[in-house]
Amino acid sequence: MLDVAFGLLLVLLVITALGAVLIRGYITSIIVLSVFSVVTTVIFAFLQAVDVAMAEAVIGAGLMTAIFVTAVSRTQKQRRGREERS
Amino acid sequence: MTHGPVLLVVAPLATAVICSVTSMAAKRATRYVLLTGLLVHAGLLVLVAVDATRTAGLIYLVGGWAAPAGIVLVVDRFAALFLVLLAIGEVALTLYTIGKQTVDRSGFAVLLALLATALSGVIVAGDLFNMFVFIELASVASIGLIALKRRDTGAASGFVYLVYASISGALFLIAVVVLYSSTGVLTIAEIGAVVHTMPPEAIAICSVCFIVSFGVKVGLVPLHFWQAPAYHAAGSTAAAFLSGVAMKVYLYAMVRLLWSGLDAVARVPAIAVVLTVAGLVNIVFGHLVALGERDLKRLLAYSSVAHVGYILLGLGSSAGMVAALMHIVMHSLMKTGLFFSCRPIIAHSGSSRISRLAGTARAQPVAFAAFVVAALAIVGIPPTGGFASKWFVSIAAYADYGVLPVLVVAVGTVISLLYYVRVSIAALAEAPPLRRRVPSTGRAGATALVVIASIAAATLILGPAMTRLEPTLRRAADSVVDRARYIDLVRGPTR
Amino acid sequence: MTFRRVYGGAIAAVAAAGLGYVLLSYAVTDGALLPVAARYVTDGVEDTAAINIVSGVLLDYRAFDTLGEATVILAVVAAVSALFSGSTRSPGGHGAGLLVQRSVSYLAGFFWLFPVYIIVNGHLSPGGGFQGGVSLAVLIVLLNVVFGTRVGSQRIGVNHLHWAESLSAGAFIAIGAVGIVQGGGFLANLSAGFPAGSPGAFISAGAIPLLNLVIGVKVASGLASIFYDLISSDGVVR
Repeated sequence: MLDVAFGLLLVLLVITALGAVLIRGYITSIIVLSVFSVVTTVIFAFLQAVDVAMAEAVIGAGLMTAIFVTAVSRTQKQRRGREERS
Repeated sequence: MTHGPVLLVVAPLATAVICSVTSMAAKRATRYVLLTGLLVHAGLLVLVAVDATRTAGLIYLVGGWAAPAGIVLVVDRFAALFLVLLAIGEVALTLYTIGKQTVDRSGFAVLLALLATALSGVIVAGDLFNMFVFIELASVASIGLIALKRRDTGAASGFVYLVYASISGALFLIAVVVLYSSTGVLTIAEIGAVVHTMPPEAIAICSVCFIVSFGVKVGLVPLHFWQAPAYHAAGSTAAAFLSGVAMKVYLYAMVRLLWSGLDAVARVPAIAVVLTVAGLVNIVFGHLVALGERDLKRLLAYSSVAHVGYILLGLGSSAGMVAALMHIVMHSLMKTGLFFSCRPIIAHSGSSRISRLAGTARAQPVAFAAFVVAALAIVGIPPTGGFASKWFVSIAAYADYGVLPVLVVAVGTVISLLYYVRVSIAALAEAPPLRRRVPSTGRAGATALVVIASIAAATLILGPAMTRLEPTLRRAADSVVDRARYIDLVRGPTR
Repeated sequence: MTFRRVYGGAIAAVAAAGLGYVLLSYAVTDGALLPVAARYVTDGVEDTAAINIVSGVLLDYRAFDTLGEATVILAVVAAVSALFSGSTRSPGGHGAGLLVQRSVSYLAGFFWLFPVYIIVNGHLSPGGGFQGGVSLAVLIVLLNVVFGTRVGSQRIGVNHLHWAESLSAGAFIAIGAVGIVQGGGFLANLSAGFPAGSPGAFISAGAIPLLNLVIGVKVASGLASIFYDLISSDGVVR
């Protein structure tokens, strides 16, 4: 039973990783990436690496998402500004 | 000096922290803190290096934990040589930048001190993962230094380097994972002691990971694309330090891991061939691209690519370690000299395009003379040190691979002569009278000119003096080629 | 476009296959602890007095690595703030609606509790300075998102963060230097005379709680100041 759950998690990991790369649109991609981090967190917790799980949760799902979204919104604003000027 | 090895890392780190405080509280003081810190660090480097060569070598247990459980710092003769190289680089940089605004640029002081921290950390690291941490620190600090000067192009080239450095770091980490799970230890000497139990293909995989990982950092040919834009965007001072010193430290780390750790060449003979072929490709490609280059700093970057080739050629030959070390020392001096001396020239013409150098030789005679001397040395004209090191590399390669590498070295020499002559002719030409002069911003100070002149003099003197230097280098080479010495030094001879 | 996708996909597949092959053939162990790991598990509590062995390894046996990792953050902050320095745009952003603002302001106290708990209990339970520090940084980001960047950056200014980061880096070095003065070597813990306490007690494990605290402050201030540099830039690297 646990093996099946673990296997499902691993499959989900691959799916979210592919999704983060293949999906068009930065914001969607970033959200999928943070789902990837959550799945990784669960896998780490499964493997009893709680410290690593915690680090993955706060960095991957928390901070990275915030920084990526900020960066994307900044660069998009710049791109829009350029289009208006031209 | 029992704490010498760890102080080498802590002292510049403390400098960086103080610099980051003063850059907020007392901006004027930052420059002096950085320069004092670097000079003190250089002094420590030399002291530790001397200490290590007087004894069999130094061992430092960080936190008091012995080798497999804790982190060990090791300084043997081989490491001591690179410590001295780093010290020379830092002193030259310090004296060169006295009175320049470069130092005041926000972040420069902190990043430079952190780069010094990282490089000395890589040299003294006796632990695989500790080395990885300092290599990462070195790449982050280098990216900052590359991006600082011209923020638009600098940020772009810094980003390119960031992507390359991530791949390089990932490959290093894969090798660490494989080594740790097959040996159960992370100390390089402990791995070296049990590496014969590993299957040869695992050793080959790790070696290739390390070669490609450091190949990115030093500019092995298909992995060199970040280098020219990075050196072009970085200031000449930063470029000189990155190409003259940091690159050599990466080569040190590669040799340390491949020889002391993995015993790669003996266990997997093909590794030597890989190094040699990579070296030959680098020589030919680097020189050819440099010949077609229109920008002085990019030209120097491609010349770096070519000269990594000579060093690899030495490493790939069975008796070539001494020759490789000679070329490492010489190239460190020559490239620093070239970048330093081209700075006043570029500042005068207002552009690093070769076609716009006209008139600079007359305006900056000392810098131009030093440039020519360093260029003669790097081309390999007989009395200079560059000739001596190329000669020894050729002999070592001839013994193993016959006449082909010697031919390649000869052709490379002719090509490099062509492009340095081209630069010199462009600089010697009369300045076109009607051209609007860009006001020259950075007039080279007296100390800077002294530094440039003494580096140029050193490249000249080291040619005849190479025979005097050779025994020292041979002992340094022996301490890495004779693996048992390093392993016994760390594990204790009793076991 | 499709060609590039196929090409990139092929490269990624080859890389993944190679990596998988290498790791499966040479990096899989039979589950038994490797020598060094076994040493940590058997002697860890006695050597470091921290019942969270991971903290014992990170902040005692291999504290030098942790110092290096913390320094990487220092370098990133220096590089990022140098890149974005001189941007004139003051951060905009109006924050969330009133309902969200009110409820978050009631909950904020509890939000602070989690990272603080993780940091101060790093030697006893999973987590530690790094995880707690990142949570703190995320919390600062959250406050900026909810209350608007103007209010957020007035409460916790970027200058405070830079100061906190430099001072905590200095404190890390100072704690390490105690080992040099007292004997035991740089970053020595119990052998440098830090009190071991009884393992499992809140005040135990010598310097490890101190290091956790210092790292927590350093990581939080470093990462939060990267966020501030990003939001105060106008997207143009100048």
